[in-house]
Amino acid sequence: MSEFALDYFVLVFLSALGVLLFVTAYYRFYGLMLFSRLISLVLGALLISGAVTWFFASEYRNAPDTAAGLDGNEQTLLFAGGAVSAMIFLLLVSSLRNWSMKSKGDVDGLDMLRHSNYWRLITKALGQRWNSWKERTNQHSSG
Amino acid sequence: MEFLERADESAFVWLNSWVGRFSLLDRIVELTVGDYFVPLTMSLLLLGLWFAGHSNAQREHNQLGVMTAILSVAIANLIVELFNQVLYRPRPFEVLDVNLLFYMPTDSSFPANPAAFGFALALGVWMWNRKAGWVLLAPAVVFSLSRMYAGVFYPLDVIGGAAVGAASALLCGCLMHIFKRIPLQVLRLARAVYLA
Repeated sequence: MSEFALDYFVLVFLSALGVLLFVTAYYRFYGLMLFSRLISLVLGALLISGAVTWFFASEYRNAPDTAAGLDGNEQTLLFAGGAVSAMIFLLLVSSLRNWSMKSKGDVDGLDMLRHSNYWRLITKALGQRWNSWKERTNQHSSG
Repeated sequence: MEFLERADESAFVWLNSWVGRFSLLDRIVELTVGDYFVPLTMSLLLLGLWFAGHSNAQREHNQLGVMTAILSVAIANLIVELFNQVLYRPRPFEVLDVNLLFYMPTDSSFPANPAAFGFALALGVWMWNRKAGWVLLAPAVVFSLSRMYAGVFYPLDVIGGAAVGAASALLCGCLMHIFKRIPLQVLRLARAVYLA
């Protein structure tokens, strides 16, 4: 990976993490929050502006993709990689940070993360699926 | 046709003649004209939009908008690529004396790829969420204007690119409504792992 690509990946990772911190705090997904709501909002905004300032002020970035720059496909892949990495990072760290949160309520999807820990939720859901799959397969015998 | 080309050239020359008059504006345009700042801003807004919404129904609408925008950008890029295979219009700096604020791209000037990208993304979202669509249209317009100001596109290239973006957003919006079952299935899977 070129130095420019690595810089772009770091920019995306940090700014995507900033967006995730901000938006999860704004919409009160307490299970995904690392800090109090106000700190998360401020830190999110600071991460976005800090990462953007670092990337664009540290060097001249208008380089063509035939030289040091990135073409559209590389940019897309690096953005997807950076954003997914930021999401995974947030899920892991928030699960550890909010370990004491039990899975509460019986709503669908993201709304469960308003008051529940992601790791506990996902392991519970996968466990339930595994058990129901085992039950179904045990009803049939092969041979 | 000749009149249109002359009007296009005059509009370009007028816009580009402002370069060098206000150094602060030039510095801002050097940022917004680049391949990274506006695309990154718009992509981050899409990421935020995925989680935005106070209710499940509101969020589902936003997520359908995000999916439409991504599909629409892909189709717009494909259309621009097809145009580039059959049509070549020289860049303004190849035929005119231009104040250039950007590097010299080597592909066809028409249709403008950045305008196609920006409008496809913004209007893809606009089909589902008008307010977010308007917010995303602002960077799309700034991106397109910057490219003209910086000397790399004629106004007609940008209008062509915006039309390509709008057409692909409209097409994708219709496809998403007709085959709504498929994106809803994707959302159902994402919901099963608490990510939608």
